[in-house]
Amino acid sequence: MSLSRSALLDYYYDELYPELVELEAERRRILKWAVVVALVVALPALWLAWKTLGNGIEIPFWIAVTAAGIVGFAVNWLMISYRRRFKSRIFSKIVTKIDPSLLYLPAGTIDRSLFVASALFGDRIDRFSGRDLIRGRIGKTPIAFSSVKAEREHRDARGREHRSVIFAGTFIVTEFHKSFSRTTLVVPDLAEKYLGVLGGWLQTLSGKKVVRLDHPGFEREFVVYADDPVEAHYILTPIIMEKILAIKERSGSNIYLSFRFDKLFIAIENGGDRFEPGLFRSLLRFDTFRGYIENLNIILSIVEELNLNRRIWSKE
Amino acid sequence: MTQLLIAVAIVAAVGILIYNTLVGRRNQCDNIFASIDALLKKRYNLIPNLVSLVKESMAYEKGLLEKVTELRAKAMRPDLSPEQKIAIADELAQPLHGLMVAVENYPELKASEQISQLMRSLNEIEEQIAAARRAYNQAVTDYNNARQMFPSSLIAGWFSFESKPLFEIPEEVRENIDVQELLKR
Repeated sequence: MSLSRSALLDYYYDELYPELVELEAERRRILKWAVVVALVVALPALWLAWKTLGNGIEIPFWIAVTAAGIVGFAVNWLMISYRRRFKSRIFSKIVTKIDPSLLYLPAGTIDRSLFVASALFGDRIDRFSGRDLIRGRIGKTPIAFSSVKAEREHRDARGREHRSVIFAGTFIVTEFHKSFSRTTLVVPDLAEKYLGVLGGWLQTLSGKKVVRLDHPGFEREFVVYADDPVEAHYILTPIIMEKILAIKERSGSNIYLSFRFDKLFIAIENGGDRFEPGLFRSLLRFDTFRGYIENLNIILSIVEELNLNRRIWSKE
Repeated sequence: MTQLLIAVAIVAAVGILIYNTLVGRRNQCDNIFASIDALLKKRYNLIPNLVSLVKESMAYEKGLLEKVTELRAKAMRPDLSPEQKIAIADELAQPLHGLMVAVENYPELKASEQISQLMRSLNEIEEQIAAARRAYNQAVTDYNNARQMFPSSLIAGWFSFESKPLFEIPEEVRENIDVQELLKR
């Protein structure tokens, strides 16, 4: 990140302050309306629930669910313009301030085809959505990332349709500084972490080619699938493995990496709402600002952490 | 009788599975060794280019140039065993890195686009060789583990699966030279 945190803090509280105060007033207004809506819905709901309590717990339960749904929908509706204003007037300015070459598109998303091309989550994705696309170049390295949610639909034994989230978080597409021609996937090693040696044996049954690496800490956290073990070792040098572990530690989430089609895809499973303003969190609070900067920093510093600008190999 | 037959069939199936796993792991070692060999050849092919490009300017480094050329000629002999190939490659690594470092003392060489491209290629191959050696060591560890662990050790013993040695990775190979950093100095 080219700007220091204190310079950003000054920018946030000095230049963006008038806008922040206006937005804060809007947030308080929305909060009041949210309380009014909650009361208007909750009181009749409570009365209805009380009336129907004699017939078992099922009807009051559904009344509570419906009431919560109505309140949630109303608050979401009230928040639309607030979110839009926050993104266009505050967040986009922070992004440009960090690096003027970065472009922020609140409604943009990483293309579905790129998400599929990573081969990290299979190619059957029934619903795909995203927001908060940021793209640009850090030094020589192009980078693009957005929040992404990918879901898969399936039917249970009774024929009822269900939807399950296969990934929700930040999806990054960048370039690796070395050339490669095959596919190497690095995914969280849940089997070995929880089942130990048995888990390691189960991985080999998955049909994919498991490549073991010479870093016990990395092996504990991740499993590597690769077409070519030599290329996997070429990409995953001891120092890169250390850095990947450090990125995982900093982000506090599961991370997935795919080295494919000469690109590096990184998926951070953080839920994907890291750049959303909250109804119960004041924008004037220091920790709110710090949260946005920290989340951006984790992503943007990946280029530096993985030394992606270091071009001493044949790739220019 | 049937039970005995089933038991024999199960034991035979397990035996075949273990035997195939051992063969698979041994082949994996050989495959990776073949890629080390290919990478070493790629490295040897670049050396004549480097020597011919720098020899005019580097009259003072004659000893270094001769050493590199001599070791390269030794490495190209067809009758070498795998251990000898690796030993020569290790021996060559030091003067070759010395040559790469020496280039920075010559401004006209530093400025040459051709040499800079060659250095990048050499650097890439050095790192690929280091990676292939790490991959080889991992494959040999997996193979040797399977050879020594029960019950696969029984099959390994009967069919004389020989143990394979690990390659030590010399310090020069592990630490890649950062050519750009050198050229910046």
